[in-house]
Amino acid sequence: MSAPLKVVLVGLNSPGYQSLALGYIRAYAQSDDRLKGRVAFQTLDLTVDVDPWWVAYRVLPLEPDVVALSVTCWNARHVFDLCRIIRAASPHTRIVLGGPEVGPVAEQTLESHMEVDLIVRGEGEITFAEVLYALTRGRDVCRVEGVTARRPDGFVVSAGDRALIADLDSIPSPYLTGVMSPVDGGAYLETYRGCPHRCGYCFEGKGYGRVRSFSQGRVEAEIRTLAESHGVSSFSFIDPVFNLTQDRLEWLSAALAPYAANGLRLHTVEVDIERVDDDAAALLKRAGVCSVETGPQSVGAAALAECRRSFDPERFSTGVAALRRVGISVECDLIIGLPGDSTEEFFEGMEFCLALDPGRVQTSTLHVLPGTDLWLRAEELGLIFDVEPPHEIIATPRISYVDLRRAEVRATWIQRQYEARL
Amino acid sequence: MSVRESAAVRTDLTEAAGVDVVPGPNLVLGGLEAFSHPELPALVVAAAAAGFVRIGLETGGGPLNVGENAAGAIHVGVRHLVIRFVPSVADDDPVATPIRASDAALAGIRAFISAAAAVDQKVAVSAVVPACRHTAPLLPVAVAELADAGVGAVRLVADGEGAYGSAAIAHVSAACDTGVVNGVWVEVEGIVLPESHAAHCIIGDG
Repeated sequence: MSAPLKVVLVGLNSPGYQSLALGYIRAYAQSDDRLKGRVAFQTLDLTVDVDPWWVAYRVLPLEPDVVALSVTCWNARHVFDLCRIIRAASPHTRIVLGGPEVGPVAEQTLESHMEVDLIVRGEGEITFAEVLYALTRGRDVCRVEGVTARRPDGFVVSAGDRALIADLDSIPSPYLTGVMSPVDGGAYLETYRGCPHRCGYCFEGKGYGRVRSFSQGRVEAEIRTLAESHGVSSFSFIDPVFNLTQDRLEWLSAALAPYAANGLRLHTVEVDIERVDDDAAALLKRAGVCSVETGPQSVGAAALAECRRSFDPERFSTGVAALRRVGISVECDLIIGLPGDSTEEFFEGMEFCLALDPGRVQTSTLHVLPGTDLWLRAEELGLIFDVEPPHEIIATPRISYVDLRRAEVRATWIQRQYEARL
Repeated sequence: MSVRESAAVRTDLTEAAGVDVVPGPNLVLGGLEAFSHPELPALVVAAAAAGFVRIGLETGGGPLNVGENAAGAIHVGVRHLVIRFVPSVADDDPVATPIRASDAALAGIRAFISAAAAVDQKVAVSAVVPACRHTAPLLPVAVAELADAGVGAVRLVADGEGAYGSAAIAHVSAACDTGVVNGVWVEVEGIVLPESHAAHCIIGDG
């Protein structure tokens, strides 16, 4: 039997984060009977602040046949730097990328980055396992559904899209299988994929189109194992909307309540605040939620329309007040540079949020992310943005480059004033 | 210099309690120099007890270098500083140590921010800088120095009557740009800037 294919999964995460995506990818591939004994995995969960040369120093001694990385707008520059070094030092190593920064623009990415061999588009678990299977059998990876790859003759080709995974429970839990271990008493959990909203700037739904859930039993098992066996005291749910439905909120609250009573805390879960009333606030409190993140992103009618978002100031205020009454801090998010917004409207948004005394007001500059509606409509909307990641907005028809920078600075000062308190 | 009786200040605090100005500060204990009041710590504590959560001091900054003033201010509840900052240049005397009057203020700001960081406390420091035709050339450097010290916003206030020439206005505009480049918001009171910098102008109390 030939030596196993050596696969190194590299996560370049924001400091303090772990890559759940790589955990899923590995857990799924490891459970594939066809790959057993034929593939050996290693994961390097590192941070984006590590110099790519030193990341390569960790990767290359492992003599990988395949290096796989998940790419976001935040780590893309580091990932490409790393890939270039690995390509030069180890020409035989296949470099595989996936993630929101490259999936929607796979062909363009391969054409502009000769160091990359293959991109897994969309949901990666099955496609990556099929790529590994093809490699172990000497088959053509270009024919694997969901793959865009460079052929030996240099041409970039894309196979057809892969259907979404119908049963998310078919993906083994990275925690229950031991692929991932919590770090510093914290763990990331995902209870469903997809998003009910279609906000123009967001790739949260990842083009999945519909919401698909892990089973309640699976999620409860993860919570139980992490809290009881790993001593996890802090969960971060990456679900786009924690209070997706009332039934779901009641179930999650009940599942988490016993652990919350013993000190488990949930930090910064994202909620649809306009659906939070006193009952929902009580459920969130019971679940151990100590802070939530929410919009409105903008209060300007034109920006909201362009981004396909709704906003009811009264219901929003009611939601914030309900959460504050039970002691949950609210982080209100606003985006500078949305199409349709002026700087005046942006600061009206800050004024609105501050008047609610939510706990935190977080402002960020628009990033026109690949695959989002704003990215597709950028020309129509007159959005000028950096084509290089993280794709920050440069100017809009209503806000000049200089005024965007001024708004960022002024907003930061206002935030600082608000946060400087007893 | 005279200071108000503590009892009178406490009465004011009680009457003003409940005024909630966001983002803040809710309350600034000012006057010529906040640190000259012998009962300043007690007044800050009284302000906090009265319900103020964003308490600020108006100061020249220099007293923050004295003893434990910086850490003490943080300890009793000061979260905002409004620094009265006068740009100055070093003495031309080549023998003298080139210490400027403004150096003490900058050191005081650093001491306050350092004391806040030591206890992981968020604070906000702004500066009010008089702007006249004579000091205008110093303003861009002053803003850069304040930024380096950790100030988050600077208000340039017209000092005295009279029109500002194009050179002075260019300096004030440059000070605004220096602020943006260094992450400091600069607003200008009482001076009309060209349209390109109108975003920095404030009207009335801002």
